[in-house]
Amino acid sequence: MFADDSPLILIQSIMTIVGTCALAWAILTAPLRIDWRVSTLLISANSLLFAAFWLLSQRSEAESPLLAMGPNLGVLASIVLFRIALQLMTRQTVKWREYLLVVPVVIGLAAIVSPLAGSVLPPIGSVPAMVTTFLLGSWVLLRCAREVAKALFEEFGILATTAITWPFAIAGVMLFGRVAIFLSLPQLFAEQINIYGVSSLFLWTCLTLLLAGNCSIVGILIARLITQIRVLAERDVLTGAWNRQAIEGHLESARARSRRYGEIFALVLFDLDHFKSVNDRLGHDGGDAALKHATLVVGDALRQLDIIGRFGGEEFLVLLPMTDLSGARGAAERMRQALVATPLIWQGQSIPISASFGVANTNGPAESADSLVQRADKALYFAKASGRNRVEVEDTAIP
Amino acid sequence: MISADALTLLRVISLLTGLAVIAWTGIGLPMRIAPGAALRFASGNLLIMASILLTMQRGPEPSYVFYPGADMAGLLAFTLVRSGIQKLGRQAFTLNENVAVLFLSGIAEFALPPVVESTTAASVIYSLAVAWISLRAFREAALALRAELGWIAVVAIAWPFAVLGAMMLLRAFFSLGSGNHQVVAAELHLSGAVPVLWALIVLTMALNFSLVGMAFSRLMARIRAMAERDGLTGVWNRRAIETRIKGEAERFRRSSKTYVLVMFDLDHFKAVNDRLGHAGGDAALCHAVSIVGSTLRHLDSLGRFGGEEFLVLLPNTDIAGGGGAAERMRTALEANPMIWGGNPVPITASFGFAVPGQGDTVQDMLKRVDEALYRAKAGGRNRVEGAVEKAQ
Repeated sequence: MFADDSPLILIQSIMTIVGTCALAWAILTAPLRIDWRVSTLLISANSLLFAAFWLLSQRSEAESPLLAMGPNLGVLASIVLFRIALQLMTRQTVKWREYLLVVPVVIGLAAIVSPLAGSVLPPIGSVPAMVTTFLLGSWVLLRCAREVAKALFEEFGILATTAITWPFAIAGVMLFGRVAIFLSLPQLFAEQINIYGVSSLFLWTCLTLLLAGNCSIVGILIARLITQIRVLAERDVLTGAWNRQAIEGHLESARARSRRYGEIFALVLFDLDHFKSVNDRLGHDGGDAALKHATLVVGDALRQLDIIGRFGGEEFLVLLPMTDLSGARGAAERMRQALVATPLIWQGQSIPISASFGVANTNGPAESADSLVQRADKALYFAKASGRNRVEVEDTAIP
Repeated sequence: MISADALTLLRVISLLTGLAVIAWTGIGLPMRIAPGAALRFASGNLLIMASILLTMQRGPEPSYVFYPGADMAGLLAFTLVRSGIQKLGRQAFTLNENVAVLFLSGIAEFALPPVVESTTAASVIYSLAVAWISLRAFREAALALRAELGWIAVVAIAWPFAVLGAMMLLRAFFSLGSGNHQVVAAELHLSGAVPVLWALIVLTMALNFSLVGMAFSRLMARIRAMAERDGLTGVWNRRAIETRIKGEAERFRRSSKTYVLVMFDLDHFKAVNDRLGHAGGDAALCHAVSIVGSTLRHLDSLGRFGGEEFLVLLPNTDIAGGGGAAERMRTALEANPMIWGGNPVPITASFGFAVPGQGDTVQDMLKRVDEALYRAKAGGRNRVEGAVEKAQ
């Protein structure tokens, strides 16, 4: 039943929708503080689509290279702009060189393949040109879907990633499918053809995908806000380490894993030595720099799965999964040596920063997180009391 | 009955609202963003679709479903969208008003015979009700947006609701004037359907973009609040309170409006922490913030400087006023012990305060209140010390 709809009304609907989208992005840029490069790309992409479909609506019996090629090129250009906008939104590098490489290949491919299906078709114009633009569009869309999916998957999981990525993937498959049908079943294609060179069914698909694509872009913008909220909720603003609540959450899940699967873990609590005097000597900015410095240096000495959090003031907690007491002592010793080996450079001066470390591992499933932290704290206290810049292990500290 | 073009446009609108239903449900359920508001927007879109589809079925034979029923589905849709906006703006749900509007327009609509001859009168009722709901929704959206993003955002984001309200008022006015149902252009089942359907496509999109803008600004406000607040106690964090002190220092430099900076530090916090555990220590910090906060004026700012150290900024205050304020904070803390596990735990703090001297930077001020605080600690804790006047 959808195949009977008037193509002109559908083309005009698409123009209305992309036109409204272009206007909406233009109006919302300032209040929603969307990156101006992204919004310029989104506005241009939607405007190009508007122009392309307007040209399409002007097609008639008369031959015109502009009306034949204009719509395809306009759509292709807007697909490229959408992809660049999405690359910027998901903080990826824009790969210009890719286009230089792929465009000649696709043009060559089209030149070889398309003579099989006749070379000029009245409303569409040159067949090689049509095949080329469709293949290029398909390739850009599929790459774009892959990039967006990669950017979202780790943080948002399969469901949200699919919900956001599908319009780009389906559009890519659809453009490829159109070329495939055209080349393999030219008869079927010729039956569907009208004065505009596009069937109503194809226009319906375009309409749906364009709407869904703009929804996806809203989804990606929202996803970025969520990332920001998560970072703010879980990270220490100054050092970028996990904050107190987040590291306590990690500690709880480590305890749960140890109860359920018997997975061992250890804790290292460390505290910068003479931090008060660093603060007094260098001012609060210098103190802040020392905290950032310590987080970076200690972070470099850790494994990928270790978790470092700021526990408060100048005190940090490191969670070492699948590590026993002697392993944890070794890790703490590596952190201590890394700090000693790398002084803080502050206003051209080299300031030595060291820390004292307390190590504890879990005492069995019954022990609470608080008691575990307290035992690490005791070891830390002992390290401070016996001269600072050293590592103490809880069971050796308490006789 | 209806033209082929109108049918195509109707399908486009169904697709549009259908996708909006899916998108809002997705935002509300799996992404868990403002689920209450997002689900109201989803059901609003669904009912708008239903209302348009029912209206298109109107014919010569009387029908309560296609005449008043279609209108009521539309009114319910707009009411749902409005209550979603209220939810986003943290405003009260106007139950009585919603019931009154729906009930009154429902009675009036169903009192009319459900035939094509009634559409003029029905369109006056329907238009007035939609105008009321959307203008009220615009006002509520404007209040929320102005507080979060300012006036430009109100105009850029909420305008579709104002435009819809104005259009509906005009429609009611022209319907009243015409008296002839054939002349009412905005009736979907007549030959005028095609231009109205085009307008509906644009309007549906504009309204949905407007709602996206509102949801977005809600998230942005949350981000800003999170970036400036201390996660545990909810007072300003170090960066935010320092920004406020800088602003006050600048005002002092320009107009000599003096201010007072107070720094306080909970006494024996380490011992509280050791005795009650980290949860108890956290509770002590929150307790101190709420007690000290209750002694402050509206224009004072309280911020956490780090650990158990806090800053209070008192604008438009001289040295005597500042000392008095710090003393009030101290006695309030002393008088109100924290209740922990059913037992009172005394929490006190030591206070240092300072007024700015000519040419003082924020760092100088922090240093001077810190010195005063140190003297309060050294002098036996639970006391207030003023900074020594800067040597001229």
